[in-house]
Amino acid sequence: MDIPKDCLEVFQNGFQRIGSANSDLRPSQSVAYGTLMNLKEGQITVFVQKEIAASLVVDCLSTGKAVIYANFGSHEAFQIKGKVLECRRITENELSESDKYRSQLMQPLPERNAILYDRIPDTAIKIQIEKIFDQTPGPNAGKHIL
Amino acid sequence: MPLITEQHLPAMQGVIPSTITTCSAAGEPNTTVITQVWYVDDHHVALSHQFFNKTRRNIAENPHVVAMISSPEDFSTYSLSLVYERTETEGPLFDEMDMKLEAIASMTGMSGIFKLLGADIYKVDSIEQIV
Repeated sequence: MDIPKDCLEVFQNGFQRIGSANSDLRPSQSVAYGTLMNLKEGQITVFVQKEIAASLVVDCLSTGKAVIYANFGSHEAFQIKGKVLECRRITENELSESDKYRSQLMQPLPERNAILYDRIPDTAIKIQIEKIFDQTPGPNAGKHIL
Repeated sequence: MPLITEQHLPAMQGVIPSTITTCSAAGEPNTTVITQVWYVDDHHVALSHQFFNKTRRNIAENPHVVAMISSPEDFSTYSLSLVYERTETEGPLFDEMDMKLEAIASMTGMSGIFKLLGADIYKVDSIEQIV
């Protein structure tokens, strides 16, 4: 899968959210604690903590649809839409990726940011990437890039 | 009983951008950032309508929205379940939001890109503290 470098960078290091919706069209959203991209298979795995992502996990399992939104403070932002392949317990390797991501986000203001990022994800949601959109405010907002 | 209380107000100052998730009639979710979730009264908030985009199309099809807001004071984060009610394109709320949006745009290099088209008013169904 040929994903532009700036887009990859945002999904690896930006602020991340994952969204879904139930069959009654009620949306759900959670903070994500890192992602792992498998470019060969066109898949992204997103890490969440079930305690604060309970509805989202249920929705992902029931409707199989999910979006991942990521942005930098500079407003550069992208969104992936895709099909949920699995929701399962996070692996040791994935946890180590999440540790790196969360440490990096906590660095600027460790005490304050700890409330949100000093949490250990327990669930990995693997998604088959179907579409990617540029979400940066401006003329390209909403542009389909993949 | 008020749903929005004093503890939620710092997260509605627009210091930390909020994220919202909508869903189309076909069941496809969409998540994006929004400059500010604006306090209207203890059961209503307003979101800035700045662009004609997927979020707007989804709201036209399905009024349910979930928004995540964070306080700049301690990063406490809340999830708000909202239902779209109406859009205001003039009046005191619109003017206040327009002025604030211009200030944010100017501070973040987004002048000319952020432009308020309307103040979308939502009823708050529930608020849950996430962290």
